[in-house]
Order: sequence, then structure tokens, then C-alpha cells
Amino acid sequence: MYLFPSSLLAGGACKLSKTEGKKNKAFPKKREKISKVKKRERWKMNITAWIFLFPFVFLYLIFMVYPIIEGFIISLTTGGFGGDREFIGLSNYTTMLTDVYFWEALWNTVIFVLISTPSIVVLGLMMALLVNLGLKGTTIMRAAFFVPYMLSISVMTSIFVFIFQPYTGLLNEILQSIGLIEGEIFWLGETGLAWFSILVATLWWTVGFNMVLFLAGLQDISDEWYEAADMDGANAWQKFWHITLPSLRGVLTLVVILQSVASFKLFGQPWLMTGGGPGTSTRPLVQYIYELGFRNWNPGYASAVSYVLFLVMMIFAFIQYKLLIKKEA
Amino acid sequence: MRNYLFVLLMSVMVISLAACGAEGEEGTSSDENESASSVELDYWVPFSGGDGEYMESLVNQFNEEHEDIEVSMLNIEWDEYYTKLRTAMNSQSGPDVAISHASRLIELVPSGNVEALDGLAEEAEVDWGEFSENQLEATIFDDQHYAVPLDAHALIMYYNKAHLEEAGLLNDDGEYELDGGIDQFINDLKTVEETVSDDDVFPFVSNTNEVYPFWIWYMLNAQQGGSYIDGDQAAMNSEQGVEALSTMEMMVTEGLWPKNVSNAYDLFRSGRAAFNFAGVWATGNYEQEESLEFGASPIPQLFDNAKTWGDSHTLILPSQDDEEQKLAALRFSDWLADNGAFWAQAGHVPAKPSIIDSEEYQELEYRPGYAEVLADVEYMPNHPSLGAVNDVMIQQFSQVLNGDMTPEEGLEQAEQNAQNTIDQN
Repeated sequence: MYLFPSSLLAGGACKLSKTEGKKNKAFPKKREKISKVKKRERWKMNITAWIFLFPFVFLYLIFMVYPIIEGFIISLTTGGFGGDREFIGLSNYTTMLTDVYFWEALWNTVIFVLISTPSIVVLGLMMALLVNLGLKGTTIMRAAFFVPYMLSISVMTSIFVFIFQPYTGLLNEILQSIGLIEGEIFWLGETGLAWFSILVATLWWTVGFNMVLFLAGLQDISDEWYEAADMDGANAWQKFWHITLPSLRGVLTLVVILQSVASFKLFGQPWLMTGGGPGTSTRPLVQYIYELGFRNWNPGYASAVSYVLFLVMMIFAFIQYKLLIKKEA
Repeated sequence: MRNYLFVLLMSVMVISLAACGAEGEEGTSSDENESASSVELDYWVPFSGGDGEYMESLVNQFNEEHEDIEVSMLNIEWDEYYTKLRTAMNSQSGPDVAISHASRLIELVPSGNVEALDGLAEEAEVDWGEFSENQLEATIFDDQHYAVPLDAHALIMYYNKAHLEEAGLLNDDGEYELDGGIDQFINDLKTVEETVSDDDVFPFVSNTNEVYPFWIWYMLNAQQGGSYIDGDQAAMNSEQGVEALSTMEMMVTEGLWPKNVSNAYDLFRSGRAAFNFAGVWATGNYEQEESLEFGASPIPQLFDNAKTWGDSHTLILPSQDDEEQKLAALRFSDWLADNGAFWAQAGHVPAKPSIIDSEEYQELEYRPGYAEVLADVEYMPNHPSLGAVNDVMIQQFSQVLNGDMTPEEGLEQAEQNAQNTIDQN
């Protein structure tokens, strides 16, 4: 989620500079004729803008740009945590090729992205449609859908550990008491079920925020379109397919991108619910990076793996950008 | 509609602001308390196994007795402890005094962030001669003392007397004794399963997903004379190692040891298990449950040698410039070692032999016997990658006990990955 404001801002900045560039190219001769007064005014405006931007840019440089560069330099070195570092070129990256733990963690992460993103988008949209119907009790429903999002991740995972844990957990207790199962189901202890539990917890936790985004999108759709469709005799499904969904394209793009970025950064849920277990079978890449850096005290290799994650996310974002945004234009 | 959303978002903000406010207030009140005394010490401990409250009472007692020093203790989850401690020490924001296991000193001391104590010791009137020799030895690097030994602890066996009585496994003294090795022990577990009428009782529990399987494996491996890390070689994939892991896997597949247990202390405490291997520090925790009648003994000799897993807590002073704080921290550490008899209520064995011989310690239940267990402890090899290698074992064993791979495969992979980890550092 933290990427949200900065990436929007960065995106905005890009757009501005692009259009400015185009203008300049389009009117190269006019530019020379601009009087000195106007130039000075523009200069003044620039200064004002920079003064306003300074706090953000300053922190952005220190806490984003500098660590990114420094991290890359560290990824080319070896040495213990806080000790002397020795330059070893790309050999951290070549180690990765034969590291089974790395491939397992990468695969875990990609699978989670591919499964969680569509589920959250579809469920969020369904909830938004439901709430948007204006039935009785909508207010309560809307609040109920959104409240989980307000919980911190540690509270959220504690609730789900309490539900899923064996021997004393709520879910097994309920299933046993209504006679559906005998003995224990190890929701957090078997690979498939553990992923299922992590997915359910993530859905419950984050879907409310996406619902709000969809809801805002739904309310921007003009009622007149639906009225017109009614007059043409369209049924509910046709209205959804031809009016609602196309109108939500912008929100949909935002939700898909935000959600897949958040899913790539998966760490807290498995860390707190399964510890990456059983064994390492639910360990995502970010957890592996954390363990390499702060448990094995191997910051060089950890940084190298971070850069690979960064690269994978870039590729994913690029594909999504091509598929979703280009069509809109 | 918009209004509702607005209200919703506002309420989120209000709630988070309220939370901030509460935290802030807490902060200021504790600051006021501390400012009354001259030296303030931050003290970090990894006592999440039920022994934290004993340490807390000790700290409170120290604060009452010492007007000039105020110690505030932070108890950190065991599993996260060294991550926090080492990163904090590296950025010079560590505590003034902290617990470190003797086996972890070799990771911490070479980083140069731990204070050598010899100069200060004289001033703080610490007499190294008072400490038990083998524990003191583990704290010396390059002929310098780097830590104050606090206690020693080991893996032992607990058993529920009521369940064993029902299964007919107690002798005339009301104690459990084993003299048939591992086969007899497995038979006894089966007897419990067959005879104890309460179906909710497990023959054996210990946590399966974290460090316990490693400790138990380490003990079983040591009892057969198996190796672990040999110089810079990972050497756990031996005949003995496989035998140890197969024994554990068999206990799980035979249903004697339930899968996926993460609250073994609670299960044993609430009478849902007959046998439990756990650290001596669980003693105080189990004693608090009045309805539980349990026995505690060294782990019986299951293979050739009576050996067990063990380690020792020591106190270190992360580097800092303030001499006064260092001195206070060292005085506090020595005071803790002197009050080992109270700390022993949690179950740990004091590091000063004079305390072990004291009446106060000898009168405690179970504990005097623990001091003898220490002779059986097979200490882990001194290696800077020990913590990381242990982590590899924990992950692999959890997969074996979960049935995802055979003990042979698990240990083979474990050794490979352990070797990679050692080579990477």
C-alpha cells in the first residue's frame, strides 16, 4: 500500500513532463518570442513549485532513491552484517540460479499473485454491486465489509490463527460439533490448506478497500444510461456487461495494479500465520529476503534477491500497463 | 452515499489518532518514573517460554533495592530476538544490557559491538572465580571476558503422573523410570495410548513446527554420538542423524505425537498429554497449574549415551560510551547471577555454584536435580553460522514430520542447505 501515493505522484509527474515536452516541440519558434517578463514569471512559479515539493523530494531522495542505489551496490558484494564488504561482481546473482529455496519462494509468490488478484477483484466488485443496490441494512453491510481493512496485520492474523489452529481452533471445533469432520484438519499445517488459509485471511482483510474503490466508480456512472438501456429493453446482465463493466475500466485497472503490487509484497500473512511452513512451502520471496538478510546475516545475497523481485514486479507492471491502460486510450 | 464514505474514512482517522494518543501518554508517564533515578538501563530478554515473569519480578526487586539504577525490561519473542538485538547493536541503538545465549556469543562478539568486561569487572566488584568454570569458559574470547553467565538450561522430560498411573507405568516411588532404551519408551507411549481412558490425551507432545524438533533431534543424535557441524563442514547427515529423525517421524506416523502442535506447553499444562520433552524453564509454568501433578527428570537414556541438548544464558553489554551506564549494567548483571536462586524458580540452573549449594536453591522442588542434568549436556558446536544452520534444520524437520519427505531425504537436503549457508557467510 505504501507505494500507492508515491507511484501516483511519480506517474503524475511523468505525465506533466511528457505533455510539456510535446508542447515545446510543437511550438519551437514561439518560445523564443516569449518576453523576459514572462520568463521571470515562469521562473518564479518554478521556484514556488520546488519549495512546495522540497519536503517530499528531500525525503524521497533519502528514503527511496538512495537506498535503492545503495541496495544495488550491496547486492554486488559479500560479507557479514555490518562488517567489511568485498566486491564480487554478479556472483550473488549466479548463485541464485541454482538456489532451490529462491525458486521455490519466487514460485510461491507468483502463484499467490495469480490467485489472489483475480479473487480480490471479483469479490470486491461483487460486494460493491451488492452494497450499491440500496437494500435494507446496506449501511451495516458496507461498514462490515470495510472494518477488517482498519485492523493491523498482526491483529488480523491473530484472529485467523485462532480460527484455523489445530486442537483448539474455532473452525475445527465447529466442523466437529456439527459432525462434518472427525479428528483434526491442519489448516495451517498442510501446504494446500495453508495457502487457502492465507488467501482467505488476505481476502477478508483487504477486500473492503477495493470495494470502496469500486463503489466510488459505480457512483460515477450516470443513471441516465441505465434508463436508456431500460427503454431499449436490456436485461440486468446486459446492463452490467455493456454499461457497468466498461465504465469501471479505470477503477478496475487501478485495483488490479494496486492489488498485484500488494500481493508481490506478501510477507506478513504467511510470516505470522504459518511462518512460511510447513517447512518452506508457503514462504514468499519477501520472507526469504528477510531471512537471508536478518537471520543468516547475508545482506549481499538478500539485496540481490530483492533486485530480482523488483525486476519481476517491473515486468508484471509493464504487462498490465500494456494490457489494461493502452486499451483505454 | 459520499457522506457515508466520508464518515467512514474520518472514523478510521479518529481511531488511529486515538491509538497514537494512548501510546504517547504511556510513554510520558514511564519517562517520569525513570527520571527520578540517576542511571537508566534498557534490558532486553528473549524469555517467551513462561520464564519472563520471573525475570520481571527480579528486575522489580532490583529496582526497589537500588535507588541509583532503574532498569526497564523488554521481553522479545524468542524467535525474533537475535534479529532485533543484532540490528539494533549494529546501528548503535541497542540496549544497555541484554541476554545472549552462550552459543550465540560467537556471532555477536566478533562484530565488535559487545563490550569487553575485564576493566569494568574490577570496578563493579565482579569476581569471575564465583562462576562455574565450564560456563565461564564459553564467555571468553581472546582471553577477555565478554559476558556474565546467568544460568544453564537443558532439555528434560516431563510426565503427567495421573495418566502414567492409569497406564501402570509408575514405580513404587510414584516416578517414571526407563531402562529399556528407545524401544521400551515407544512401547510405553503405546501403552498410554491404549490404556488411558480419556481419548483427548496424547501420549507425547512437543511443538512440531518450530525449534523443538531440532532440539529433540539434537538430543537423540547426541545420544548416539552423531555429529552436527564439524569444523566448517555440515555433518548432520549420518547414520545416527537419520536414525534420530526416523525415530521422531515414526512417533508422528504412529499417532503417538500429534502433528502440527504449536502450543505444547498449554497442552501438557492442561493435562492433555502424558509425556513432554521441554526445557527446564517450563517447570515454573507447569507448577502454576494446580490441578497438574507432574514429574520432571533428565531425558532417559534412549540410545548409547545419556546426553541432552542444552545452552546457557549470559548477559552482554552492547558497546556504548557512557562509563557510568556500563558500570551500572555490569553491577545489575552480577546481581542477577547472585539472585540465581530466585531465577531458578523458572527452572534454570544458576551459574554460581555457591548458589546451587545454597539452602534456598536446594529446598526448591525438582531444581536440585537439574543441576546434575548439566553434566549430560552436549553443547552445540561453536560456529558463527550456528543460528542460520539451526534455522535450516528447523525448516527441514518440519517438512519431514509433516510427511512431505522421508527422514533420509530431509536430512540430505538439510546438510546440503546447511553447507550452502556456512559457505555463504
